[in-house]
Amino acid sequence: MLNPRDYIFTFRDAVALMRRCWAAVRGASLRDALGMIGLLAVGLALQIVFRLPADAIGLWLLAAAMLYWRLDGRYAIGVALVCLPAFPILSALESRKLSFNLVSAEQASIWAFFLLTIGLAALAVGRAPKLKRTKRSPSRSKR
Amino acid sequence: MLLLITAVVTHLPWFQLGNTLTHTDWIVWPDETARSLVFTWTAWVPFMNFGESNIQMSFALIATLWSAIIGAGLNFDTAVKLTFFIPIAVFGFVSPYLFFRKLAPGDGVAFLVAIFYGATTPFLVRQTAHLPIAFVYSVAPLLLLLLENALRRRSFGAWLAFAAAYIVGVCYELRIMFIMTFVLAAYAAYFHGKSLYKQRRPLAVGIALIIALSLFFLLPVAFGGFSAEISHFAKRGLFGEQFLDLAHAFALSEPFWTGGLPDRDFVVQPIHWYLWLIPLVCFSALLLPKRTANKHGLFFAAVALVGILLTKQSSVPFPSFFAWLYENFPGFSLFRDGSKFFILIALGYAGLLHSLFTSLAQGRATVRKRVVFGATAMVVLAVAGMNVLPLVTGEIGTLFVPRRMPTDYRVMREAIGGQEEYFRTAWVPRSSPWAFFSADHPKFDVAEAPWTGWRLFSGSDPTLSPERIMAPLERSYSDALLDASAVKYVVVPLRDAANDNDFFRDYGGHSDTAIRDWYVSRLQALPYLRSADLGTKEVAVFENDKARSYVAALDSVLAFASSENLEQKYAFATEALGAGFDFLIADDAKDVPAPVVDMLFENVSDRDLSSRGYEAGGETGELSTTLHEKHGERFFSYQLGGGALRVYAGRPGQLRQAAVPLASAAPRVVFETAVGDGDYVASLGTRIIPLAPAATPREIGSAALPLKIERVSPVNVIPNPGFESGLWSKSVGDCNAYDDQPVLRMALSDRVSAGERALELSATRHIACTGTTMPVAAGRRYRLEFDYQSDNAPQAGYYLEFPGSSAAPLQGRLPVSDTEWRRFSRAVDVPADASTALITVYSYADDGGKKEVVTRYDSFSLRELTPVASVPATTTDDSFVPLPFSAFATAGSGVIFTFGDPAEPSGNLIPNPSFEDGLWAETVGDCNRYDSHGDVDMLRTEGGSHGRYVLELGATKHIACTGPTLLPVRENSRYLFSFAYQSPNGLAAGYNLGFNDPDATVIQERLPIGDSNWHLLNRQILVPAGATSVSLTVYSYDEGGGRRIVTRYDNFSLSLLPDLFDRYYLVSRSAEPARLPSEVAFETLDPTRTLVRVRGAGAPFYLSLAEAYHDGWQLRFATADGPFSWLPWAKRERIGDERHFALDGFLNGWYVDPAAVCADERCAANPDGTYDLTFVAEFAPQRWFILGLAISTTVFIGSSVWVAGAFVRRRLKKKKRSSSSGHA
Repeated sequence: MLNPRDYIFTFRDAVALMRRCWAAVRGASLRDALGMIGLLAVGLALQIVFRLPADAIGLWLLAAAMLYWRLDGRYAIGVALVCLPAFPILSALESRKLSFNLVSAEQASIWAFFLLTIGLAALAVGRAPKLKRTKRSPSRSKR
Repeated sequence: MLLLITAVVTHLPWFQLGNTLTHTDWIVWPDETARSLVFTWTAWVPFMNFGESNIQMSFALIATLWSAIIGAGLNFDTAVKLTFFIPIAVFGFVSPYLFFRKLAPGDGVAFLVAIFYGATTPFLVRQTAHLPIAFVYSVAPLLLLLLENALRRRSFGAWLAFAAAYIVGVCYELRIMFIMTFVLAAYAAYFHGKSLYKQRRPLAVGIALIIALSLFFLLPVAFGGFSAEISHFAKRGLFGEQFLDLAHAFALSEPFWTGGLPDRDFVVQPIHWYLWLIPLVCFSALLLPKRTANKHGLFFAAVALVGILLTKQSSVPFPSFFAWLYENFPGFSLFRDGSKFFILIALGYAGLLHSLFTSLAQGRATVRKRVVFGATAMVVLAVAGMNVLPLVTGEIGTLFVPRRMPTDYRVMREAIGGQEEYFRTAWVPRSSPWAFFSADHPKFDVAEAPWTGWRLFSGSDPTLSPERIMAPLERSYSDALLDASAVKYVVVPLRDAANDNDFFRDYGGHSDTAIRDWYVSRLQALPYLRSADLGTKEVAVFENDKARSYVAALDSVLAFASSENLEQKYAFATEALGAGFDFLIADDAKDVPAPVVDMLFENVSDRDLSSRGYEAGGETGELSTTLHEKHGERFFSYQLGGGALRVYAGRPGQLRQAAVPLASAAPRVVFETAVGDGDYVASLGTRIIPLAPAATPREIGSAALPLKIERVSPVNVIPNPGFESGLWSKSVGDCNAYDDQPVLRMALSDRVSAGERALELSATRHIACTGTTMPVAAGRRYRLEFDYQSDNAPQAGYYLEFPGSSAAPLQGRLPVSDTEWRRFSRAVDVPADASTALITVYSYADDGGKKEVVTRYDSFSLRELTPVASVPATTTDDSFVPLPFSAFATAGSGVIFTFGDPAEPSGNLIPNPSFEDGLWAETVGDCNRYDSHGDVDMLRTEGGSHGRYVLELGATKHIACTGPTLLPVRENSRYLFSFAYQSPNGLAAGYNLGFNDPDATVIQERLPIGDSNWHLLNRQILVPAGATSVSLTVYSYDEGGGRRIVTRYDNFSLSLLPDLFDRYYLVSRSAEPARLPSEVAFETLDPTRTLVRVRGAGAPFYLSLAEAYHDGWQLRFATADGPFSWLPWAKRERIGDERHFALDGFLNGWYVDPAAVCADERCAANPDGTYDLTFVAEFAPQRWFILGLAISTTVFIGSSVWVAGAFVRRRLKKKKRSSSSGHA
């Protein structure tokens, strides 16, 4: 039977993500600590040197974090699928001069694009070790 | 079967073989022309305009198919149905079905994906006009399938099938196949990367097959000298960045998709809401659990995202990425816009859908899974259904509605096709899709002239305005131009609204519903054309009965130093030399003996101005050199004094050679009368020139209009003309009351031009105005004069109306370039029904509304003019007279002439020309404000070619522009206009000069920039009649990609030139005169070869071939051919390339000197000392096509035979094995 949890990003997934984040902070290994320091440094560099806006810095950091900790790319894709339908909705609001200053329709589509790219990259990286293991276990493949 | 039914239902007209489908670019080829394509689709395409090298050689395959189908007794409509319409309709649905069924078994899933793929909006829009693109779009999944087969089976046959399909795709549309090549390579690497090395041999064979099968078009392109044409085609610059964005790319929504008839006015359409469901559904495939997410999903998601990134072109994010690829990635310059990359999104989404449906269909079928599957399938089917609905209902129009050829075109087809001699038909403004054409009767769209051989004759206006289109047909040399171009008929097509084909709307029809009648009336007025009766009722046909033969001998060709000012040179050639129109542009790389005509002072610039006057150099000929002066009968001067007024025609000579004045004809008296006291004026149209007493003749100027001498009445009819009695009105008027917050003021000023008071109008918001009325005599002529001045206004203005009269008012804006008082003067013809006049003057607020703009007026005058004499312009033609020329320069060397009195350089009219005093304006202008997201700026930076500062315009989006205040100019006068320009990263600089003449004449240019050096523009500008001021604007053009394009300007100059243009011509001859041979006959073998027989050639002559000039054309002797003489590198005896030239700037011409070339036995000598010569005029790159075709055909036939043999052998072996096992 298809479990909806396997298919869409549910509330449980969100809770699991938060637990994982908390666990990551609480029981951070040296690698995790280095990763977080590195992220902080990258974020500061993007802000100070390249003067990137906050959302761009967030996306770059998200990409780095997902690849560093091998997070499930579906998280990013799930958020992207929220941003995608936001475009026509925000466009309609903007055309009626009801836009909110929080985010524009164009910005939503840009986020969707980046989140999809990040998610896809994370999924692709996530597949790589699996392939290697498969290659290195001839006995399994024989079976 | 269901997919086939879907294809038929949605494309029903495409499957009806009896109808005709045509729309915009998709024209109807005449059956007989299409039937001959197997022979005529060569390296030279002769059908359109003046012929062109064939950079689309790959289309030869389709051309051959058309020929074969029509040759089999069918017609063109059927041929295109079988080769385009039906394959697109069928493959659009079937090809994705076959491919995705191969990826994972499941008819239902493959069916859903196929329905989605065949109903995407970019694919449907391509089907409305761009069928080659649509074809490759339709077969793209099939190519993936054949590649998959080849990689899995590793058989020669499978690779041959893939290679053949790949080449067919290339033959249809090279650019989309370029994209597909990367998709195919990525597919092979991603899915078969590990096994590629193992199957390197079949892979190498596959690649070798593709190369071998491509040679028929690769060889002529690589070695035939087409690289310049391809580079020109590829480097046209990016286009349409405003049409594409991330949202349209995500939603796979073609920007011009309306859900009905696609938009044709380049208005980006909103995205239909339901199209957003597609990316949602597709990308949700990536949310599949890891265990079910398959490799295909990731691959196609990557394809889709790359497609989105490229399709959005220059929109955010990464706005510069597309432009960077265009500049740097090999082959990417073929893509001027991102719309071609929609195919990647469609393929990617199709793969994602397949991945999603396959995952849902796998495993145990539960109710929940069925519901999700069913709902998703319904979404896909519903969206596809919405998209194809306009196809079924016919709302999409275009190629989905059968068309009927108007009877007139059928009649023309027979009338023109039935004539044997070679000629062209010129279509004004452009040809109908039904227009007849063939290799012997090419058609030529006059609107396309600037981009074809007639670019020299089209002027600098790049727009499609009706006046620009008609211009090359209305020049003094147009008759000769049409003769040389072999144009026999000039045709105005129908406004074919019945077939939804009213293309006149693009050529003036938007603003003028009677534009077709306008074109017809203009052609009727041309003296060299006469109405022709070809049996048409509505299509207007005109005949030029002197069209030159396809091949002709000429005895007169002049060499011009430049291709500019052709009207003046033509007038000189015909009037002074008795020569014809034919010319060549002097080129150091060529050696074509011809009399050299040098228009002295043609390209004069500030650098030619010395203390002795303007200098010009010329070359003297080895045989003879003559100097000609245009006597200037239309140039008037006068002398007033001693109770007499004399008017002279003709110009006093001012040319010197080595400080020695050259004697020229003296001006002659054309009018003389006794005069009394009072003021006299000369008037040319509305221009008034006061005549002042003088001891020597004084200049009036050149006049194309009748010159009138008039006496000025001493009575000024304007009351209180100098405001000495107060203001004209009690309160200031508001002449632009767009709101209720005017800030205006009126007062008397003590800053005067005469007397003690003047009018002072000031405006901070709106426009201040005041006026007064005066009595006038109906039908009489007056002189209006007043003084104006301002410290901060760019312009003053007046408005003169005649209350109660139906006549149009007179008005004008007057440039203010400094703070001095200026006097305005013009003639006024009072209408016959007027008895009073009302004059109003203005002060204009600036746009910001923060500055008080003050304009002062004084000394108004309106005085009646009484005619004294009139010198009609028609009686005073200009003429060329030989100027005694001291040939003390050595023959073959240079000679220097000097014009003018000791130099008195006229002042520069442009204020602050080098920006040393700041910028011209406080804010930068946006000269392409198509939306509210413009990003333009303006700075003053250090550097440049003159002084310390330069103007820097920056354009990231839209076009940055700026300019000085209006500049005062004199009508019919010539000015020298120059400036320096530079850009570190832009492709072009540009300027616009807008005159205030009644026709609102505009002179504009885009100046290509290929480096970061400073360049100097130097132009002579002729001010049109009626103009009193000109506005100058310079630009920085954005190029898409979000880059700030910087364009810098410096050192502007606009100064009046003395009367030296088109006045002196130096003609030098260095070779014996050409003479026509007794006879020239020709026989066209095919579009690339024409046999030419010349008889009785006793002296040099020029040979013309009525095809566009190309280096590939050669004139070789028709000597006996050896067995390998057809090879491209075979040596051929021919007229040297240095004697091959661009006749009239666009046709092929050769200089043939029989005495020099008739060595050995190549010519037949006649008893009278003349020669008979036989040539073949040949387009040499065709030989590469023939060689490539031979190789490609041999490889294809050989491979097919080998595959067939292998198949038979395998069958026989199988049969033998089964029979032997049966025995056992």
